[in-house]
Amino acid sequence: MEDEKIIDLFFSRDEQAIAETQRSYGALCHRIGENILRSRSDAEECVNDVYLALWNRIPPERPNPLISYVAKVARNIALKRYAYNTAEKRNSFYDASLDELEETLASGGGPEQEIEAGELTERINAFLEEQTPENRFIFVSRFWFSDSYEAIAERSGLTVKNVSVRLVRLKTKLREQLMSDGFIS
Amino acid sequence: MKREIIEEAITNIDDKFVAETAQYRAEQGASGLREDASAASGAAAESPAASGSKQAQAGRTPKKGLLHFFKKHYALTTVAAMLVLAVGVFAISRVSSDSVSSDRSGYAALDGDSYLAGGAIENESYFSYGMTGHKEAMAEPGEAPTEAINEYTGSSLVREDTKIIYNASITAETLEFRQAAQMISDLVSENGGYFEDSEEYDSGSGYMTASYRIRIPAENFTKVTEGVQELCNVTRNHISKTDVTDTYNDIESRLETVQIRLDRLQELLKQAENMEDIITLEEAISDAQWEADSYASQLKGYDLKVAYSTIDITLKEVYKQTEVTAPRTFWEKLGDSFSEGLESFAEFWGDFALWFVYNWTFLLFVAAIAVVIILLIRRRRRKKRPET
Repeated sequence: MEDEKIIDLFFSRDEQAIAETQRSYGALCHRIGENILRSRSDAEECVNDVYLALWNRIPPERPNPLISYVAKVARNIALKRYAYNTAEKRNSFYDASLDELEETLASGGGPEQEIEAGELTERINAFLEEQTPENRFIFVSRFWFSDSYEAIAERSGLTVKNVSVRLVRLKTKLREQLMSDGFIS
Repeated sequence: MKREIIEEAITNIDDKFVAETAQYRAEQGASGLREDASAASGAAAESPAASGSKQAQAGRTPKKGLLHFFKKHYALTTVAAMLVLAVGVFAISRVSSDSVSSDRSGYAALDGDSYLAGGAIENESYFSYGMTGHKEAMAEPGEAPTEAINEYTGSSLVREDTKIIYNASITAETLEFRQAAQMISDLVSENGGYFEDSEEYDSGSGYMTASYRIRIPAENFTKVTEGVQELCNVTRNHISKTDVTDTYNDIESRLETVQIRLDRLQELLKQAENMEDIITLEEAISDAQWEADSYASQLKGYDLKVAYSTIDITLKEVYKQTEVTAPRTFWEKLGDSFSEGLESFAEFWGDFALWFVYNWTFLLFVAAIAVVIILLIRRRRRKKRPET
């Protein structure tokens, strides 16, 4: 079913909207949940929370595209649950990917400008805009969807080594751009 | 940089990038379950963010690459690889087993080789360079030597005791092997010759090939070589003449000398009185006799070779004779090459099919081994892949 029709179902408070959302994006939500929570049962609960969240938000919101909206809701819910479940432990793909990025963007020790999250988002958006679709897919899969290297390689048709090399280059380029803007010393 | 800032920044990246990646994941079946690709692509098409940017179009997916294709289609890849390998092996074996076919060049070699030239076989005039270093007209076998004059002295160069050995090597093809072989045999018998060596065999393609060594009286040499040309389609005719006159005369002279020495020794033996002289003379006579016998044997050999010429015939059975045509234009040659190329192509695949069927057991064995190896590799890869 088209996204427009699914949203119309939400607006008319027809529970068929949930079924259609599950059919279209259920697997996506599961994958995001499992990547972050590393537990199938937790991920399933997370997905149910996603459907509830969508039911509560639509209306008044009319997201477009629906797919990215659903993905973001799923991610946020999974992160909250993750933070609740394991306050101290960090053993998911999500933590691994965040650690990786944190290490890349670590300051060298010198003076640097204070950057806010919004500004960093804009820099990252500009950075992604310049990349090829393939590199963009690899970057977003790793750091937004928290996919493992093997999963990214499987989907992109590349080898794990190839994915690893590309990610290193992407992180290096991102760091160089932030350094040239003075956000990293 | 603070982790929280990075975390928040990543979470809030532009929706179009998330949509692009999510849509591709949806098409690939993110968690092994196929999502409704039409819904995902429909969402992407409506996205205003995506419509403004060519790169953000959700319909574009990252390249999968050949490696991915090969990984996904092991069986197809294996079959294709084996087929290519089989064709390659067959082609190589076919090329290496093909013998050199008839020479179609239109020139005649200087040593008396004759090739198909413009529709007729042309024989060179036969000349040899004798001891004088001047051209001498050579007689045909069995004929009296023709006149030849020394350019400087004006004297005749012709010798009555000329000894010439004639040899011919003929390659011919025929559509009717048995008939041609019988006719050649009859030709040889009619001309007083005999088969010194004969071999007939199947060359492997169902067509017969024969090799004959024929000895023919020298006076009938030309008649027989021309006769073979009439019976079969001759593709190569090599005629050589070896003048052994000087060598023959030389041996003859030595024999005369030894003979004189032998006579002298015989006389001395008759006059010998003491045993020591008798023994010495008898030894000398024995040596001289051996030498004389050796020279006589050589002369006899030459006499035989001069009297009986040698013709080597290679007769090949073919399904289509080499055509002798008038010189063709470039376009005619191009057209012929094109049609012959098509024929050759069809013939190649026909032969390949026969070869394939003939070797089916071997190919099946190789395929079974390949399948086992592939299954083992796949099993190993599954074990290596971590559970997600």
